[in-house]
Amino acid sequence: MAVCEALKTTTIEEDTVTVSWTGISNTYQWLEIIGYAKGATVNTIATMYLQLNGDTASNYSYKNIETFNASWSIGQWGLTTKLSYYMPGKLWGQQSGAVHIYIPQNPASQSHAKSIHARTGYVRASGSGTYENYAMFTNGYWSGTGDITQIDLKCDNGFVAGTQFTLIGWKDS
Amino acid sequence: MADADYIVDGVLTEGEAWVPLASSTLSSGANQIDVYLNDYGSGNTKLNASQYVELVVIGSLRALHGGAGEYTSPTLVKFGQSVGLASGYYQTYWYGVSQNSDFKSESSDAYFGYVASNSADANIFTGFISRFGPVSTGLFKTAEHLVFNDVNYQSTENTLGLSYNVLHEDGLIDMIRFKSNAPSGFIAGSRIDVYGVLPRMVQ
Repeated sequence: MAVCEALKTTTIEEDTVTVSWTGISNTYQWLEIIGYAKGATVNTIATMYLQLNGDTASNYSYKNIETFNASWSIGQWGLTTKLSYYMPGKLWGQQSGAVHIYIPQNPASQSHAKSIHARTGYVRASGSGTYENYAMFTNGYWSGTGDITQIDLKCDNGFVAGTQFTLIGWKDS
Repeated sequence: MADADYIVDGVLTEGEAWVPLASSTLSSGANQIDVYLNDYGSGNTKLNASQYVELVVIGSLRALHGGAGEYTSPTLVKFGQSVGLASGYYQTYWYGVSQNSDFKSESSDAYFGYVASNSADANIFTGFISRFGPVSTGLFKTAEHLVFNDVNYQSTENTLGLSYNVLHEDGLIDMIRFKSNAPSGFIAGSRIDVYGVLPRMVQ
């Protein structure tokens, strides 16, 4: 029996604000989001958001290590309405950012808040010497204790065509 | 492009989302480890990579870099289309050991990180996970590397690294190469395993 199954895949064909996956099964111990994404914001940077089970209230917080070119910093946010990650914006042609997010599903018959690990990053450098590069470790928190049944991925002004997200489910047997 | 072996009459028969594609272990020292999923008819491996959302490489490497105090050795990577071997990579990285981050301008190889070398304790190899994508959409190609080094418990050379590369090309990724910058390359036992992640739906 498969222990690692691709549950959902969404490939953006035109600018789309929200990728919403519903009906997610609780038979998986871990959910993994794989993405190569780019924001429709006409800027060099865009922000991507993650929300769970349609919860748009201030039930999220997160801490990250963030590099920007040759500098790096540690930050934390909370309580806030979503988990946030940087993406390249629309000014950057075919550039995309890599997204890997890991979300625990509830253990059987138990209910816990969720600790959400993410790695995101992208590189943009031009021959003329313009650089804007990010690499981020982020650990997020969502206070909801129910099984995860819905994942929403959003971006200011949407994601551009070519953006692709896949949801993987992991289980022990 | 022809369907992969696990697609039969248009039906996906592969049971896992992670499909093992290739594995390479050095039986003797070498300057690089290559994986060609499609070498366009030269008689070697030919696999259809177009259906994957990304390629994942899990590996362990050790280099032979001469001289005392050479705990780690710089390592590079190439990825992209096996025809033409692209040469325009950009990169950014963060290192836990010295708490630094930086970026590099365009270069002919992509920056991977450091792997254990001859001054590292015996039998230590550097573990890593690299992910390459999007494999076939029209966006530029990105690689992510998580590289872990514990080469000597007293050493300041132990690292936890996160780095990203981009290749300004939108063609299919069907080749990955890890290159050692050490004079004697990687040692025997260095290994990489390549998996393709399928985008299919089971629900």
